[in-house]
Parts: sequence; structure tokens; C-alpha cells
Amino acid sequence: MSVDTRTRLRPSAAPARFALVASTIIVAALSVASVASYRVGATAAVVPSAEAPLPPGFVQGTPDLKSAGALTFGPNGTLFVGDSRGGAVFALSVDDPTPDPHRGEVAINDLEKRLGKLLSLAADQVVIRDMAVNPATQHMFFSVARGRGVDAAPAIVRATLDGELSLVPLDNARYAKLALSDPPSDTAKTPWGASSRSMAITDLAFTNGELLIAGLSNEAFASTLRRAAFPFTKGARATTLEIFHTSHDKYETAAPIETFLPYTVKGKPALLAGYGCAPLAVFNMSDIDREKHVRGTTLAELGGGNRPSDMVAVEYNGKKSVIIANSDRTLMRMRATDIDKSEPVTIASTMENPIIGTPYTALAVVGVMQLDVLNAENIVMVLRDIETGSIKVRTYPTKYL
Amino acid sequence: MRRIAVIGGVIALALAIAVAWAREDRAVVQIYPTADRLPANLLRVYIVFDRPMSAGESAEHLTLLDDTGRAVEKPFLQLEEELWDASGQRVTVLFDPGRIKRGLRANLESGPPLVAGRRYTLVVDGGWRDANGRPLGAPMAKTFEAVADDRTIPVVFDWTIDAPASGTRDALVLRFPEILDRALLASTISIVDPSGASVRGGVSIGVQERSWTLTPDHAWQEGNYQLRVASELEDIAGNSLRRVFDADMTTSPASREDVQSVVTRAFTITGARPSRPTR
Repeated sequence: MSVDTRTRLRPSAAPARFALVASTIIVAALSVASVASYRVGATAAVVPSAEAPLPPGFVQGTPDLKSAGALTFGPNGTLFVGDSRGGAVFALSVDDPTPDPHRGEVAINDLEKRLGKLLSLAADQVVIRDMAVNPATQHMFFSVARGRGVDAAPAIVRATLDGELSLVPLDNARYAKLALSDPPSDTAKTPWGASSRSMAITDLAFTNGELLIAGLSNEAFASTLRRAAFPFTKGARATTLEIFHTSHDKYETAAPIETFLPYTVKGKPALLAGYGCAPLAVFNMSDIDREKHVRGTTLAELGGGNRPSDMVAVEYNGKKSVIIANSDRTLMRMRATDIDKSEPVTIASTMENPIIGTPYTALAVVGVMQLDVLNAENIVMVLRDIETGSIKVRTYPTKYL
Repeated sequence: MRRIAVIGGVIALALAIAVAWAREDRAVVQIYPTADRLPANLLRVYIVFDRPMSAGESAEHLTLLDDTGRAVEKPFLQLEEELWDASGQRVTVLFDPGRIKRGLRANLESGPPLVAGRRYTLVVDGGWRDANGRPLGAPMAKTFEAVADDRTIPVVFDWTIDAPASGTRDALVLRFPEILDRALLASTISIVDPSGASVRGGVSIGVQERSWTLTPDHAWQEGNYQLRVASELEDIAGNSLRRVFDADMTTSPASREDVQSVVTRAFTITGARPSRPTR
């Protein structure tokens, strides 16, 4: 084995050529797509109103959004967009003033195909990353990658409850940017230096005037939670804290959070966190405020080989629950009262007794990838149909949860 | 009829060979770690390609075979978003932490993905598509033997510093008693000169990621230097300088609060090159 890995790993001219060609194609695609959007969504095009004053910390222009992943809504129609590739979170002020008149069930089929039509892409080149509902209007916003390449250009698409799609224009947008990337290291530069470090943003949540960002580094395995006060100030950076969770009172581990939900547990503000390695843990916000290293406790294990992909909080007739979407289990419901009663898991599950920790109910829905609260009556789900393999949008009445 | 089929077959074969030839057999440049004996609780693998790749394909095109040739069931952590670097040429693959961590249900149900004493082959198949949608064509495999788990933190004071003589631009070499993470090695280590400035130069990582070499841009001065290592540096089982990946709290704490966020170790550069490396 040769010692000089530098030679082998030095970027050649080919990627640069590729980048040039790719960016030309992307620019061309963007212009085609933006024209298409005004055609498709002529009556519903989301055009920012020029008159309203800029929110504090915001600028007007074209955000350098390199990818669009995790989404969540903040105050006053602010859509937070996680940009893993650009190492940033953008706060977009979306102009979405009119509540959707639609009431009742929602059924949108063949979402990839329909998005492909809007973005002038084949359905298999449409990658839906996340969905968030604007609580003021009930419109759904999707983050989408235009293609499967790592450098695929992003798009944000709005959907009405009747399934009408329109592209959210990113030129002349009102936005604020929060940089997440670590300051460059002063170490001697190598082709594997700090520039190769990236973070996949797995989830975002807005709570109590603050944006919380969970992510996973492509290099170090720390479980890092980042937080930033909003509005972002100029040159804002997120602060980081490392969080551990304990299992069975015996093992203490760091792991990246896959999805999380600000929630009140035992009367106190807390974070429920779902991990890729399947436990569900709870962290006290007061610990997060105080400490740099925070320990949480495992409440339940959601099944080996399973990955919780999204969580929402619902309430109907005073009965509160958390709904959990899973990669390899059905949609689950946990009652808030059961979460409050939960003790840290101290015993390992066995084949005879496989479900330990907080009890849950398996709901008769599979393939759910994204969840959000639509309104008081419904939650909305983005799910893959197991018959057709296509992606669809459905609602689930809160009264049955 | 049969003759046509034979001629057709020959043409197809010739075309396939020509395509494979034209493509050059080096789509996957390297798989890290490069050693062929790896701890059974191996956490992270890097696959480096010679071209930008399509995302979202690792689940389909990356397979771990055991020594009977059977595919190991779900050995890797599946993520909604794969861990690519900015160039799209390097992907980070994590072994499922739930199966590595003791006591978790995934570990109890499915067992750890790797068992010490057995041989495994990691296969990157030729169907993995590049960013232009073209399959790589040539597969690549890496065979290794799983050895005992590594559940100890790397200790900077266990490293050997092979210091050069002052006045030269000879390389300074750090040697490690274990394999360290290839990517973190490139970004967490620096050398500080007697004036407190960071030494600039070219860095390379040695055989099996067990050494780090700095060839300075300017000659070494006589005096006290410092090796500075960010505590986030991990070995290949995910143990960092201050945290064991998977700690048994009943015997030792997971995090070592006594280890600073940057670990500093002093060494001296003199006119004569020491006959034996500093330990």
C-alpha cells in the first residue's frame, strides 16, 4: 500500500469540468422550472409581496441554498430550511397569506410524478426530503432535490390541500442565514482537511424563540445538538452541545438524533429524541440550558432495525399523544400520560418480552415517511404506497388518535 | 439461426469487454480503513470514488459478505440522507450503532454486524451510479478479518514522535499503536512552533492509517514544539480522545472530563536528530 494518499486523492480537473457542466445544466433547469411554475400555478404562484418591511435580520435576494432537507415552520410564516450541503439553515419568509379553504380529508396521489411535472424532471429524479405545514394556512411545503446526484439543486414546493403545486421562487426572496460549519481548522491543509467535513441535518424544531438543529457529522460520531436564537443576528452561529443517552442504567452512549420533538414531560419542558439505533430518549430543557454535556434517559426501544423518522404532538378532547412514524414499524401512538409515567428503561428486552418501556399502540398505517399537524382535526402524512410504490399524501383524523 | 445467435453473442461480449476497458478499472479509488484486520466494533468506513456519485444508492449497492459468502443482514445504519462530502466523491458508511452498542435491542436481536475471528468482504457493486446516472461498471471488494473489540480511548501520550533535526525540512512522523480515523487525522492534528505559530506544510497519512507525516514548508527551528490534537479525533471504533463509543457506566465513565478539548504534548527539536524516536 502506498503511503502517499495525497496523490491519489487530489481532486483532478475532471470534477471541476463536471461541476461547470452540472452548474450550467442546473442554471438551465432552474430557468425552465421557474417558467414552468408560473404556468402550472398561475393562480397560486407564491410571489413575495414587496411592500411589507423586512423582518429583523432578514435580507432580500437569492439565498445560496445548496440543498434543501429538514423543514420546520417558525413564527410569522418563517420556513426554516436545513441545507446540509451548504452547512447552513435558512429562514425563508414565505409569502403564503391566505388560509386554504379545503376542509376534511386530503388525498394526493403520485406526488413524485406531479412534482416531476412541475420541475420538468422524470419522477425517479424527484427526491422528497421533508414536508412541513404552514400552521397559518394549512399549506404543505416540500423540500425537494432535483435529481439524485449529491449536488442536485434544491427546490421548495408549496402544495394546497387540493393538490395544486407551485414552486416557491428563491430569487428575490426574503431570508436570513445561519452558518453551521465549523470555523476552518488551522491544521496543515490536506485534500481530506476541514473542507470535507459536512453535517447531515436530520431534524429541525422551533421552540421558545429558538431553533434546535439535530445532525450527524460525516466524520466525528458526536451526538451534537445545535441551538440558535431567532431572529438570527448578523454572522450568527449555532452553539453546540453533546448529548448522551443511557440504556438499561448500564451503557452510556453518544448517538446522532434522527428526529426530535419539543414536548412537556412530567410538567417540564423537554425534548423527545428518536435515534437511528432505535431508542426513544428524553432530555430536560433545563439541563440543555445549563450544561455542555447533557444526559438523557431512554424511555423505550422502538424495535431493532427500525428507525423513527418523524414525530408530532396531537391533542383531541384534552387527550394528548405523540405520533411516531417509523422506517420498519407501523405508525405508533404514545399517550402523554404514559410518557409521563415512564421510568428509565433498566432491563433489556427479550424475545418473550420484546416491548419494553413506554407502551405504544400500533396504528394501521405503514410506510409513513413524513408527518405534520394539519389542523385541529387532522394530521397529514407523506407515505409510500405499498401496492404501487408511489408516494402519496393522506390525512389521519385526530379524533381516532 | 444458431449461427446468428453465436455471432450476436460474440459481438455482445466484445462490446462488453470494450466498454469495461474504456471505463478503466478504478471507479472506487480506496476503501478506508485500509488495514485487513479490523476490530469487530468497527464503526466507520469511507469509500472514495474517482468521480461524483449519485446519492441514495448505498443500501442497494454496498454489501457485506461473511466467510460463507452470505450477505450480512442490515449491517449499516440507514439514513435518510447519506453522508457525502462536498465533492460527492466520498461517502461515509456507519455500521449500525444499535447493533454495536451492548444492551440495545438491535444488538440483542440481531447481534453485532461483525464477529471477531471471522472474515468479511465488503463489496461495492458495479451498479452504483455516478452523478450522471452511469453505473460504475467495475465492482470493488475489500476483504478483512474481524478481531477483538476496541473499547478504549486513544491516548496521545502513547504515540511515538519521530522528530527531525533543526535546520532541515525533514518530515516529522507520528506513529500510533492503533488505527485512527482517516478523515479526522487530516483535520485534528497540528504542530505549533516555539513562537506559538502553527507549522504549515504537507500532511500525508501512512500505511494502514497508523502514522501521520508533516513535511514543513520551512526548516525546523531548535526549541520546544507542541503537538496539538483536537479531542474529537477518533479511532476506527468511534472512541474519541475523551469518550468511549459505548461505555459500561458501572465500570468507567463514558466521557473523560479530565481530557481537555485540545490535548497538548510538548517535544523538543534539536540540532542532532535523536537516535531513537521520542516516546
